[in-house]
Amino acid sequence: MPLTMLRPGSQARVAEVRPHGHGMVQRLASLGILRGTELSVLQGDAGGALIVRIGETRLVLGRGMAHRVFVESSVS
Amino acid sequence: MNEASQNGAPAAPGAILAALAGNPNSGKTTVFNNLTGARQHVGNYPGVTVEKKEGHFRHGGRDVHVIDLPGTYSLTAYTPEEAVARNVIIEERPAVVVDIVDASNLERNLYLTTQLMELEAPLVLVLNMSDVARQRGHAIDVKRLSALFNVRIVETVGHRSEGMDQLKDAILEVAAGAAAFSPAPLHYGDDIERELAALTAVVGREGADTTTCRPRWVALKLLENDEVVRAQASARMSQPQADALMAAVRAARDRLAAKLGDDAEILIADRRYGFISGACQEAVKTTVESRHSTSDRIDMVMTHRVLSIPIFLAMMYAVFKLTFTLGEPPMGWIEALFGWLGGVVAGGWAPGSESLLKSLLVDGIIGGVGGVIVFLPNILLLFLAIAILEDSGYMARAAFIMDRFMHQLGLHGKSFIPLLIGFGCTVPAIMATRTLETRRDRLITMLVAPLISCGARLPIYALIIPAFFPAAWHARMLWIIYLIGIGLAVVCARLLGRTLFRGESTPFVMELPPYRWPTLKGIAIHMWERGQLYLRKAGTIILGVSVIMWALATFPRKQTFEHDHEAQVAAVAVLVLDDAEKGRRVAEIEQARQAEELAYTIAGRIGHALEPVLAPLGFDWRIGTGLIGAFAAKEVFVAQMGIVFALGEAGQDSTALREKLRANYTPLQAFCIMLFCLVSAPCMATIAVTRRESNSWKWALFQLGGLTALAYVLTLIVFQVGCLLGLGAR
Repeated sequence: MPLTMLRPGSQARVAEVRPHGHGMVQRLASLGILRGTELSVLQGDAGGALIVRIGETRLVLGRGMAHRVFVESSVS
Repeated sequence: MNEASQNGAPAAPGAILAALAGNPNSGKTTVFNNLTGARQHVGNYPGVTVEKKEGHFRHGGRDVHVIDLPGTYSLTAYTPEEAVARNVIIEERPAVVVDIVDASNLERNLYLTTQLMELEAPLVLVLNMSDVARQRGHAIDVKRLSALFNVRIVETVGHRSEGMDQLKDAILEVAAGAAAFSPAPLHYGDDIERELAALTAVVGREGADTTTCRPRWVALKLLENDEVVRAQASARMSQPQADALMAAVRAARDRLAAKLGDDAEILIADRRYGFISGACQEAVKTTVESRHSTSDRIDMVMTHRVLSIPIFLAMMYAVFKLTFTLGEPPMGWIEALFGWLGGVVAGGWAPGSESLLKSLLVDGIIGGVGGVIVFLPNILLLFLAIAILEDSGYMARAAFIMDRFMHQLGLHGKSFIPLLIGFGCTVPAIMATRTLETRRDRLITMLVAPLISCGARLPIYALIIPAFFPAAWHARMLWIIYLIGIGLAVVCARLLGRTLFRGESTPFVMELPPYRWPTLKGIAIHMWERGQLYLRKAGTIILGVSVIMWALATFPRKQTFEHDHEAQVAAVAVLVLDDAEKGRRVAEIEQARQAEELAYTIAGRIGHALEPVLAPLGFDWRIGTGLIGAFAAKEVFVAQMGIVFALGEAGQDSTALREKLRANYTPLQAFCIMLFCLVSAPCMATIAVTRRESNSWKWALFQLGGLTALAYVLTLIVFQVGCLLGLGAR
């Protein structure tokens, strides 16, 4: 499911980053989001951007970006 | 823009060139400030508006010239910052690349390091904020990490200036070619390595330009589908050679995709992180589980879905309060200083012997430049507030909070900040668009920024509203004008986004840095850098245009007047009146003479010539002349109206001027004047700064023409419809 479906407080693992436009996958990778990344959603409600935490990094992801990051539930 | 980088502090002959690389928020700027102190120079890289910061220091008898590369997360060429950082390393071949890494967020920061290693740059790795890392329970085995990366490592605490001498030593050591360290490119696994080896051979054979970078790196970038490297590699090739190379690249990417099930760039990124996490497992012991930090707890409130909005509004209110309240006294001093200066210069001429030179110096240059410098306190304070918000980390939160609203405009959260600054002054607002990542967002924001009613337009409203509208409506009218501006900015942004700048707003992603106490030094440098840019660039252009505006309002000079003013003055002198009354009458005659003079000048004639065009808007030649003045700076309109109505230098509080206006115009016309001033031709400083920030006259002129046309059409509609509705009556 897309990252936008996650509620604040939940954790997940990135399953796939669906490319959109040139370099988006690489851009996300450089910020630490790629297949296998464990992340948790800190803030975000319907319509706006999300704040996610990846290790020590906190990122704001716009809706459009978050729609293209697909996650699966992590069992860690 | 070339001159900016070339006249930058030149490296002394024999100096060591060191480039600072690192992620944004890694404390790179602090390290740069510590290394170079005040010996800094800020310019622009040619062709792009990425700031180029340089400085130097002396250590161990050697001069070291330091380039602070823009903060980047990686070295692709998709953002101007990354392209610039990469080009400097490739083209200027620094003797040392200092990679500053946030030790408390090691893995993500080392991603850039792996790419610097791919470039085979002589590296010094700086583990900055090592105190925070320890606090968070990360124990880094520096020796082990150094061996794994085969790189010289220095630990520092930037904000306490710890480790700077060791860093300087390391720079000299690596520049001298310490053989013990030679970072080697990573190993990407057999499948990728095989394709890489084959492509490297093709790159060599087909004669790609590898004078500045190694064939293996070129091959790697081609495999990653890097457009810039592709263009550069094929630049020196014949068409068949380039085709052969590209065919080889495509075949290699296809084979990798078939075998490993992913695009090569994803596979390569995977390998880089694989290498990093392997190294970190060996060299870093984490005793404390990663948990919610203090920053996260602050964010629970600051980015809370309900609380965040009032907190945000309070912050913005504080910024404005600071800018305008604290800015007022120094503005007064600067005005007084320029007034005094004008008086001193004018005193050089005996009464009656006034020459053109005096008028040029006093009215043109001192008046014009003073009119710009007077905003400096405001601008410095605004930049101070912004520097505090940025350095503390709040600005990134503000972008998050405003994202939803800005989305309606087809922009994202970050564009909000420049527009907000626009309420103060459009010039720094346009400069603040630098923080936006894509050219599309930058241009849209830049083009609509003048619609946000700036501080210089306030005197116009302050003059007109009380003259025409009942007291109960004063505040409401002002609100309406501001809201019209905001509304138009929204409409124009959406319109531009759907026409000229088609395409979705680029996906938005931004790091939220942890909250930090800003350092005094950091803020001071931040503020001064921008203030200085405003002074230097906008200042020079404004000086030039001030002289032109002065000339327009001075030439041609009227030799014979319709009324013999001197005779009138002489007549007053012999009348039996008290001195005060005589003085008043003489002043009136003098003002009438000035009005006659102005009508005769080019500005006055342009005003007259424009009258047929402006008449449908309800404007006469006097307003036309005022609008020409408004192009120099919006508030000049008020002074210009004072002169055309023969009231001398009138201010916004002038009751006499208000009476004249009320006698000559209707409330509908008054509203049209405000509307036109709000929307029309941004002032010349705005045009100049748009030209510089967009790097083309095209957009600056488009802004000028587009907004003026919009103002004309809107005012035309309002006036004509207003007249039809019978609002045109006095």
